[in-house]
Amino acid sequence: MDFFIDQLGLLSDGFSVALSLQNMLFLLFGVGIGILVGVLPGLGAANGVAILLPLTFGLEPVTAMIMLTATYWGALLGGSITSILFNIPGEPAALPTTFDGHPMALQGKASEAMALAFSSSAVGAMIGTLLLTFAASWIADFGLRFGAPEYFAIYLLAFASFIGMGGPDPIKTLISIMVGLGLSTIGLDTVSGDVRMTFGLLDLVKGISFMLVVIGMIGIGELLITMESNLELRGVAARMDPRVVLRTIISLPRYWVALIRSAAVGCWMGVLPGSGATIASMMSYGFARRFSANREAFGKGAREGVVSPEAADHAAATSAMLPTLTLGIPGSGTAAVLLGGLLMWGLQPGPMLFVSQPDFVWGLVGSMYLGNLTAVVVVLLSAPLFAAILRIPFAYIGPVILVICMIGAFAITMSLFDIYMTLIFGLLGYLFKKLDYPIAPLVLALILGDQAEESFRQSMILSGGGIGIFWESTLSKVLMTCAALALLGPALIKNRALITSHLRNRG
Amino acid sequence: MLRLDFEIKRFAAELAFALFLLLIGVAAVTGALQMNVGWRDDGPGAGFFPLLVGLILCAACIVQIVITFKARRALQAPIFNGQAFQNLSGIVVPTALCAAAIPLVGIYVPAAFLLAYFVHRRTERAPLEIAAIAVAVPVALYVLFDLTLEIKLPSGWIF
Repeated sequence: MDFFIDQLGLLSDGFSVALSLQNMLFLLFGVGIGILVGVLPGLGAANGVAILLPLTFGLEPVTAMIMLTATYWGALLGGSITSILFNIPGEPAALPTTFDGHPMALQGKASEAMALAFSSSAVGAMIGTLLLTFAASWIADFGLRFGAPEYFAIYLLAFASFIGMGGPDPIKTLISIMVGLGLSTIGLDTVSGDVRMTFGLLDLVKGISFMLVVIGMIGIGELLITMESNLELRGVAARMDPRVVLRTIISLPRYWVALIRSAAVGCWMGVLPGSGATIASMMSYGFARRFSANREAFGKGAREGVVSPEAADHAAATSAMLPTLTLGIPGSGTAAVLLGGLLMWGLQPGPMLFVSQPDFVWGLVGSMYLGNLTAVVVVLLSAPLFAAILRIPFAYIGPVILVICMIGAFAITMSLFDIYMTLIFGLLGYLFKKLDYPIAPLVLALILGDQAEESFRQSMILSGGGIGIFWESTLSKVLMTCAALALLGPALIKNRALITSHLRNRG
Repeated sequence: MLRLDFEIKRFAAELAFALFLLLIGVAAVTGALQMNVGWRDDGPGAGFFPLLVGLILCAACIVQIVITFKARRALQAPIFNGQAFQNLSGIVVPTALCAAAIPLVGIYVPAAFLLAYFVHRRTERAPLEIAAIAVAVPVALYVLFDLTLEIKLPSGWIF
C-alpha cells in the first residue's frame, strides 16, 4: 500500500511540473504537429520527432520531451484518420484500422469509426501509462543492480528479440542491425580516442547522427515510395457529428473485454524491445477476430476490429517508454529516437535518471496522461480539418516534406554534408522498404551501438579479457539465456510445428 | 516524352541489393583492419567491434544471397519498371540538383524551384498560381525557421 502512495506522490509532483503554462503550450503544439505528421502518409511519428528534435535544443529538456512525446501520441491518432477515411495507413501501426475502419466510413459511419478509434486509443494509452507509473520505480531499482556485463546482456537481448520476433525475415533483420551497428562505429572511438571507419572523410569524424538516418531512411525513403506510385488519395468525406461521438464514447464499456485484451497485448509488445506498436496492433486485431462471436463481420466494418488495434497500438506506444526510461532500452522505433534525444541533452536514461532527475521523469510521466487525453480531445475536434489537408494534391505536400526533411537534417549540426548524407540515406531507405528490409532495427542498433560496445569493452576490462564474465552473475546468466531464447525460440517453435504437422501428414 | 520500357524482377533486385550490402560489409572489414583489432590487456582494441560487425554482416549477406537463389522461382514478379524509374528520377534528380545548389544560393531559392517543378509536372495549374505557391512556401519556411525559431538556414549569397 505504501508503494502505491509513494508512486501517487511522485506522480502528483509530476503533474505539477507538466501543468505549467509553458509545458502545456508546448504539449498542445506537439499534439498538433503530431496529428499533422500522422495524417500525412510518408511522415510518421519517428520521423516527426526526429525532425523536431534539433529544433528543441533551446528548450528545457522536460519541456522538449513533453512536446516530442505529445507529437508521438498525436501522430498515432492522426494515422487512424487516414486509415479510416482514405484506406491508407497514415502510420504503420494504423494498418489494421483500415480493415474495418474504412468499411465503416464507406457505410456512412465515419464519425462513429473515428470516435471509436480515438476513445479506445485513450483507454489503451491510459492503461499503458498506468503500467509505466507503477512499474517504473520497481524496474529502475532492479536496474541499479546492473553492471557492465548485465548491460551488455540486455542490449544483446534487445537485438536478439528483434531478430527472433521482429518479422518474417530474420536474416534481413540481422543485416539491418549490423548495418546500424556498423554506422555507430564511425567517428571517434570513446574508449581509445582513435578516429575510425571514416575512410579519410573529415566530415565523418563526428560520427553519423541517428537523426540523419531516421529523417533519410524513414522520411525521404517513404516519400520516394509514395511518389513513385503517383499516389492519388481518394477518401470519404468526414464530418464529426457530436451526438454520434458522444453516443459512441458512452457505448465504449460494451467492448471492455476487447479493450483489456488489446491493452494487455499492447503493453506486452511495447515493453518487449523489438516489437512495438505495429506488431501489437496487428496481433491484437488477429486475436479480436479469433475470439469474436461473429467472425464474419470482420473486414466489413466490425466495431471490435477498430477498437482492438487502436487500444493495443496506444498501449504499446506508451508502455514502450517503460524500458526506455528505466533501462535505456527503447521498446519501439519512436522510443529509440526519443532515447537518442535524451542522450543528446546529456540525460542518460536508466535507473540513475530516476534518482538524479525525478522532476524530469515524473513530469514526463504526468504529461503522458495529460498529453494522451489532450490529443484525443484535439483530434475529436479537428479530425475534419486534418482530413481536408489530405485533399491537397500530393504534388504540393511531397516537395514541402522533402524540403522540411533537408532543413531538419541541416539543423542537427548546421552542416551541408548532413543534407547530402540524408539524401543518400533516403535512397537507401527506399531500397530497404522496397525489398522488405526492416528499418527500425537499424535505427535501434545505431542508437544503442556505442553503448553496447562500451559495455562490452568495460566488461572485458573488468574480466581481463575473459568472455566468461557474461555468465558470472545470476542476473547476467538469466539475461544471456533470455537472449538466446529470444533469438532461437520462435524458430524452434516454428520448426517443431512444421515437424509435427509433417509427421501427422505421414502418419 | 521518352518512354522507358524495362522491368526488373524481384530476384535481380534482391540479389543486387544483397551484393551491395556485402560490399558494405567488406568495406567495414577493411576499415576495421586499419585499426587495432587485437585484444590488449585492457580488452579489445578500437577495431575489434567493427571487425566483428563487418564479418557478421558479410556472413548474413552471403546467407541472404543463398536464400535468394533458392527462392528464385518465387521471386519472378516485377518489382520496378520504366514508369517507376521515370517517376522516381523525376524526384531524385531535381532534389539532388537543389541540394548541390544549396552552398551557392542557400536553401530557399532551390526550395522554390523544387516546388514549382513538382506542381508543374504533376498538376495542370496556371503558371501564375505555380509561381505564387513557389514563393509563398519558402517565405513561410523563412518566417518559421529564421525569424521564429532562430535557426539560420543556409541562404547563400542571396541575403
